[in-house]
Amino acid sequence: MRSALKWLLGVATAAFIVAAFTWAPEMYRPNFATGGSDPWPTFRIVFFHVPAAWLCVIAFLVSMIWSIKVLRGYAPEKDDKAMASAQLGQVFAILALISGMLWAWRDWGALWNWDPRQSSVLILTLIYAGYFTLRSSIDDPEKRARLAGVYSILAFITVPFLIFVVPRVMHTLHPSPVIPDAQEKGSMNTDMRVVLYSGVFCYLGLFAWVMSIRTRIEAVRRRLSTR
Amino acid sequence: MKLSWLDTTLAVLVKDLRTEARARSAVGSVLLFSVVTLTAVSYSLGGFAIDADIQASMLWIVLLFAALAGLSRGFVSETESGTVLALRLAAPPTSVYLGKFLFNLFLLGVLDLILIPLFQILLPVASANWGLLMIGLVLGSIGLAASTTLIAAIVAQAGVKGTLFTVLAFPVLVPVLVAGIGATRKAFASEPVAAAMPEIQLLVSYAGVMLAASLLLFDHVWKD
Amino acid sequence: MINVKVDNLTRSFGERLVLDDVNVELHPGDRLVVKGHNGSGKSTFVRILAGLLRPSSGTVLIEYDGKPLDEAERRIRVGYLSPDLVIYEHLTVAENLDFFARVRGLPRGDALGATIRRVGLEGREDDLVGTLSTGLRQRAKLAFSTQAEPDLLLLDEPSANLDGAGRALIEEATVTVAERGGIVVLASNDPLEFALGTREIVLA
Repeated sequence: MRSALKWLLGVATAAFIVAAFTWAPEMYRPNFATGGSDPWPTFRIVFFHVPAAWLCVIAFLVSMIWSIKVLRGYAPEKDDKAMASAQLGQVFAILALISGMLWAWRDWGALWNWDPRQSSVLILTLIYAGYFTLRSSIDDPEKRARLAGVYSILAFITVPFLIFVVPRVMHTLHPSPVIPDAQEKGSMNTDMRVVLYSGVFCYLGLFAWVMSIRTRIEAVRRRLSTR
Repeated sequence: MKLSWLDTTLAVLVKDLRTEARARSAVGSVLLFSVVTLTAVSYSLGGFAIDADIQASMLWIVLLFAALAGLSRGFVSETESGTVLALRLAAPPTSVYLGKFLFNLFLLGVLDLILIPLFQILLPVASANWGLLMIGLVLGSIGLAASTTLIAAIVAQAGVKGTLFTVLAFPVLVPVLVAGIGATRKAFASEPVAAAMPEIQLLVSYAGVMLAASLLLFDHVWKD
Repeated sequence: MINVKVDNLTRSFGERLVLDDVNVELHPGDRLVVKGHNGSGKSTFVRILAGLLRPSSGTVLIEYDGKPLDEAERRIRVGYLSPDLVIYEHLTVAENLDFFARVRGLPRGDALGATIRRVGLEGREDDLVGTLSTGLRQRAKLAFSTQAEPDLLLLDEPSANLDGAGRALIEEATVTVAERGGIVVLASNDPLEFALGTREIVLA
């Protein structure tokens, strides 16, 4: 990535982080005891938590697209991209899980509350883990790209089920306590949305940057090993 | 010579059933495993009154574990014995997938038939909407079979490794697990079929999507 | 009529180069013997012709009546026999051949009997393959490879484990295919098998 873009990303991310803590307006939540509203400072985690969850799924989508391309015609670069985006997706998934757990812990005292979206990210992490285990058990690069690619596509098809359909069904299974996500989507005002979307934008930039570094490393590694 | 898809698929299924009847590696161990798991579960719950929700979950846990233990045999046995080469040379890939899928469905069917009565004995339900229970099990089994068959093919091609199949299959099977438990729970609560529409819709669409995707992707797994 | 054209065929496994720029053109009636020491790529070459492996670079063109073979045709027009070919041990010879005939879309019934007689296994067709001696099992494998009366017969060390009568069967199969206008490719280190060929190539 060109230097100018990198600097822009750096500045934008710094601005985003500052804005998340200062410029974004205070969020309130009802206090059932007093009948009024209390400030809800931990709410600010949402600006870091939600973009991580989005990126986790976007990274998986990117990985699946490169897997499809690899199945159409093998080239090591395509497989590198599929793997790199999966690795980044795994990182974002873990970030989303940790930030979600921290938030739940601060607010409710419990690390896990069976929010369907929380569980879907956990399952996503398991899918990534399976993907990497599969990759590590195959030596031949073409075979590895092919089989891991098929699994990546199959697993991605499960994602819409996990994200959209399962929550509808699970609500009857796990009556959950107040769900932070649902609340925030409904009651965010425009200023908050600006910060949230700029967060997504910054995370995307980071994703693209690290992807490009990762794939370049793999290309160099391959050049060195064939010398 | 005109290739009839039905005929070639049935040929694969019959061959697997015949081999199964003689070698008895899959059915026996899957059944035994499920009985053992069910016994372990009911022993640990023994005496305590458990409600229908937990019973539904336990049923599907046992089913899932048995499936994870047994449904990879179809492909792994071909790779282990070396017959996969002859199969590749002689049979159309789609028929191989469908034949193995039907065999897995057969395994699950046998499992369901043995498990339900056993469950009624060890962890009995007072009353239930048996029709809804059947529907949930049948649809769930189709979905289970569809995705596990493809994953079994992947694992067989990658080189046999015991836990890889479980690791790859479980996350993909979560929607079936959730919907299956939901439908079964409602069945144990004697609710009408209509009440379980969300679950049934999920199971049907999952099975359809997985079957279609597996058929499309199988060629890539099968051919080098 | 079947034709095979191999151009600049190269195949590597990771870093190891196994086939290096192999070129050969085969015409109806050709019986090619592929020679070379162990590890020279004879089996790899035959596997690529069978469609089991893809070339790393170069082309392999198998045409029947001017058109390249598609998947379904390949299952019928190409026969492959090698040491790593395994048929179902828990099925009888007849059940094995019937199954393979069924999935290939071949006529069943009487044709099966003819195939079994051709490899000299009549009387043993209802024995489980797992109970046969290695020599008889090789004959059953030969039946698998020839049941569709292929136009391209690929043999990799076919006489291994065979007695005199068995070797005669291999020779007969080879001659039959060639006389019908087919092509035979035989990879071997066995001097007795060299005589079966009309042409040869040596892999380094």
